[in-house]
Amino acid sequence: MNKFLLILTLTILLFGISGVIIAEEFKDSIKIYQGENTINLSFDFNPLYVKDLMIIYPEIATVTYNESNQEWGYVNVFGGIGENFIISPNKIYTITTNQEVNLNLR
Amino acid sequence: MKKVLALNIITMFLILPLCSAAHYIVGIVEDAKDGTQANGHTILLWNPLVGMQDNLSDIIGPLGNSHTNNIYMIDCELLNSGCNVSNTLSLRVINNGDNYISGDKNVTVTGFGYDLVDNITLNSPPNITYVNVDDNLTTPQNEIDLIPAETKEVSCIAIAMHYEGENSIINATGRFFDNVLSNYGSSEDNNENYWNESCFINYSYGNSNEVEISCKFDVWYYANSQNWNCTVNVTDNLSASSKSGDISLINPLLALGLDSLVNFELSGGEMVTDESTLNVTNYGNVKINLSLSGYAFEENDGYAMNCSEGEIRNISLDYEKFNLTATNEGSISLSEFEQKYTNLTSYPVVKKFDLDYRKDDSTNEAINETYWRIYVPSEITGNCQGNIIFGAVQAQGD
Repeated sequence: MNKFLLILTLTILLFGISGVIIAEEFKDSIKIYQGENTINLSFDFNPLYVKDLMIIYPEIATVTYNESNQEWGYVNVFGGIGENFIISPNKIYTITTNQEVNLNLR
Repeated sequence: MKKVLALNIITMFLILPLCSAAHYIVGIVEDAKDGTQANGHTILLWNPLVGMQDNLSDIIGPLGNSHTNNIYMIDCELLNSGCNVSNTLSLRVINNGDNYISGDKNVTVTGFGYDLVDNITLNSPPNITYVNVDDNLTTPQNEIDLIPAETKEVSCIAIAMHYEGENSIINATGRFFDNVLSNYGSSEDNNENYWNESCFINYSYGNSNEVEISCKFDVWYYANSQNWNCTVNVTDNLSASSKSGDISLINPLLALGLDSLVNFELSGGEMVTDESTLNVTNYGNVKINLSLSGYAFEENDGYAMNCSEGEIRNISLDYEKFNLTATNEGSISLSEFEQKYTNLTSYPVVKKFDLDYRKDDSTNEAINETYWRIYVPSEITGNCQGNIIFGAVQAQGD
């Protein structure tokens, strides 16, 4: 499975898509790499505010998601600025971090 | 398991175009030094290499993207030209109509999710605290007396202060205009609008935040008699400006000018001189009628002229006549003389003349002719000399 994911990631990178797409299903945690990561949080977890997510994981620099052609973003600077939206399961988010972090939301 | 994973991957590919990368440009805008809050003002972001036409904006503070006092947050990826690592972007608080702006600040895009811009300070515009317009006569105040046929210097003095320091004030202009018939935006015209595009700024005045501004205007005698407004406009080094004005009354000016002596000539055998023409010029700023009277030696002496030779040395004032409306050239009989001309009198008599004041800046059109003749009795010889007194009286309809 891990080998398959690695090949998949490399394939996507080859197609010129910046960042890393990770589809997690049944794992307890998801690895966020340094830089920009587009992730689908497909596992079940209790929704939480993005501000609280950044309190737990201060390595996260920004979280962005799009809904109804509108972009929502939150930046981990000055104590957190931007729309404090809810992180929910089964939505796609773009997360940037300045270092690798394991996200465990269960 | 593999089916679920494959389905997930397909879903990812389908929704991938919907999620775009974001890169935020964030920073603080400090309140202006006069206490005006930065919140609510608009900040603009653009790539100087592309031009300002491709720009993004945010409202500083809680109403903007940051939802936080004094902070802005702009996703530079939303620029039409996008933003890439090592791009230099520019930011500026733009004028919302209250003249509070900022200087430009640059930031270089890096690889991580956001970039922090150096603090920007909201620039307070210059503030004009005092304006006074008057001529050199301090009494009465706020009244300007023009000079016939000349210009009068009118001074507009203003005091301006700038929280950013007096040296931030780099230019001052003034407009002096008829507050009824003209306005600040009208073009220059000697009757109603004067411009001074480079007023003197005295940086020695007051404290380090104050300047004195002196705008001078050479106002022509035919400037309208109305309330006039002097508005001073002060601009700082960020092109923020403020203006303020003061009003003074330009008094009516009654004045006329005669460009020559009347020279009467008697043709052979005639008793009435040829018609002489005398041009009257309105050198004031109101429409005028004429008051006319005459004398030979001294006022009210009853004579038109005193002569050097002959049995009779004086010509009666009744014999000098004028026509203010029509010319009658050539020789005329005594009865025509009586009929077509009006007697000059010892005392001033106001006659309708309706000579309007000058309206044309390039040519003086405020000139009318008057026509004169005198009956010379046969006993008179030699040269004769007399006086006609012209007075200007304000005509109705002005």
